[in-house]
Amino acid sequence: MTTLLQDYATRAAAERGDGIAVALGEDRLSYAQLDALSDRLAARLVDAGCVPGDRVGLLMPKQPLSVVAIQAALKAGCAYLPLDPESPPVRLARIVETAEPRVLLSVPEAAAALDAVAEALASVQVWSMTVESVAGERARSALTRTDWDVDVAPPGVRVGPDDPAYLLFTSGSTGWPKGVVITHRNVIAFSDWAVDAFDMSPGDRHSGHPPLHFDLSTFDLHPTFAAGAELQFVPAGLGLDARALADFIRTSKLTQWCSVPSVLTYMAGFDVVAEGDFPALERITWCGEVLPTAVLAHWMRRLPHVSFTNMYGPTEATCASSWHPISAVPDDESVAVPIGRACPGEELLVLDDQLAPVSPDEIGDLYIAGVGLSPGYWRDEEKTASAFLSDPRVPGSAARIYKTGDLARVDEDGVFHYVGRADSQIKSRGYRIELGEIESAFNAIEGVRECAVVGVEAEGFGGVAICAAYVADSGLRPPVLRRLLVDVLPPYMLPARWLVLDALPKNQNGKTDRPALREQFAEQAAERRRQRA
Amino acid sequence: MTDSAALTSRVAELIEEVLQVEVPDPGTDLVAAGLIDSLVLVSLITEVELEFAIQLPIDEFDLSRFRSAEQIAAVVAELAPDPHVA
Repeated sequence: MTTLLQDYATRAAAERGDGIAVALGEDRLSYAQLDALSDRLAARLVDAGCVPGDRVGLLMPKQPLSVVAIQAALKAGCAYLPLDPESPPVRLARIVETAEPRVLLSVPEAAAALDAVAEALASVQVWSMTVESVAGERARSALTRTDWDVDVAPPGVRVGPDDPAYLLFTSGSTGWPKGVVITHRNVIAFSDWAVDAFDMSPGDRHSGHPPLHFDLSTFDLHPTFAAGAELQFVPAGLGLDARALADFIRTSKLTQWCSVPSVLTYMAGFDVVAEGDFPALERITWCGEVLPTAVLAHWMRRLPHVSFTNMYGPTEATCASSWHPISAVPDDESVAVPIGRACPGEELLVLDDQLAPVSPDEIGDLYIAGVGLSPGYWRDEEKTASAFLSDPRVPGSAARIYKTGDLARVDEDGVFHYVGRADSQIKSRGYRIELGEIESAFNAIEGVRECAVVGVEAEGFGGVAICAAYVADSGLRPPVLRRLLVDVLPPYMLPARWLVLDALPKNQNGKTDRPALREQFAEQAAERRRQRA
Repeated sequence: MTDSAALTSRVAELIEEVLQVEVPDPGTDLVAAGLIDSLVLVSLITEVELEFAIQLPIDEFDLSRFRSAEQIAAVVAELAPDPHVA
């Protein structure tokens, strides 16, 4: 039985070393290569002072070498910390300062990001993963690929199953991202479930669509390695081009495709999938947000040979906690796809304010219990205590429940249905976004006096549009503000719609009247349509 | 002002008005400059279609031809020989 995450790929290397573990176009690594290279890099990490419990940062776009880095970090007893080279430097610097990685592994393509966060990296060793040394200010003593391209004994470090395997930073409501700690045991429970649920085998070719700092990448990496299958990273540029994306699925002969609903919606919008297309494809899964039922029906009609499964789960409960296979094309496209039933070892609970179960079909707060639960937020006991509660059903025990912040109901058959968010968090393109983080970014700009950000259901391509209303000194027109925000927020957090007001609407309690704002945005959109009609 | 310059500046205005994205120069590749990403590009397509009452041939359309105000104006000119730029 596998006890540590890195053992999956090592087992596959022993069983079928020549099989491809991971590929990005022509750049590919067999399981034997992945295992040998990560042994060597792990030994170097240990030589450099990495001890169990340390973090190893990965500042690089996804590629086969990033998987070597992940395996090496785990083999050195460390948790891997994927960082987004596209993220604004201030945000990146804050994450690095908070997580304190012992070593940061990077590649020349990320040199600009490295230079930009150089200050924060003062105490971190930065290593280049390729032969060329990274052209970063702090990377002068870069260990390069040639330094670890010689055979060395693996370090032989074994941490415990409850030690951290990775740290992911997600949007935080107070303006700064928070780190979610996930253990080896968490990911192994998830991966073993996924291999079993989707009947994954060495012949599978699975897509790697999301970037590594996004928790859906957990599904791409570890169940694929647990099955000894092949991970095909989707080239980053394809996100812009629906037709090229369809071509990629076709020519890579993917058998399993996992992405966020916005990708499926985007491809459906461009109508790039023919009837009976992708003959090698067996399964499509999605996670991270609501897939419009009309889009699902479109895909199901086009690809009758493919099975479709909705997955649901927050980063704090390790990628997915429930699943819902869809057996037939939905006949009513106005009914949302359920989030289904809990994965084995997990539990979904719909509770009221007193943490008591609600009756069937009554809406309540959605909690998760079981094997997927993170031990908590990185060095933040307060946030951990407010989101991870003692299980009210077993007082005095160590059992916990996680408050997702989602609203849900359970139907008479025990199937769970997502209803919406209880707070100011939204999902846009699969990314979980705390609107408070965007508001904090606004408020940090000189001249902004007041601001409120709301999510509004968008038309057409669907999903939720980020809408910002603000009061500011003259001259701070939206294009000017947007340019300032580009420096502090990742692209997916930038508002799509804007309102400049003399004052924000207030409710009786003197708080910003968010429903009124949503109406103003709806009115703005209607006005625009009238102008064009 | 030539027709094509007028059209380019109308497209740049539209990008600023509707997407609130600053257009530094009509020739700037807005994607490469980090000003817009794929989702914004999708809204831009919708807005251009609505504004100029055209339909982009989506199944054969090359998105790499749709990244600067100039390029977009050229696409509009091709699809709508007499676009209303007032």
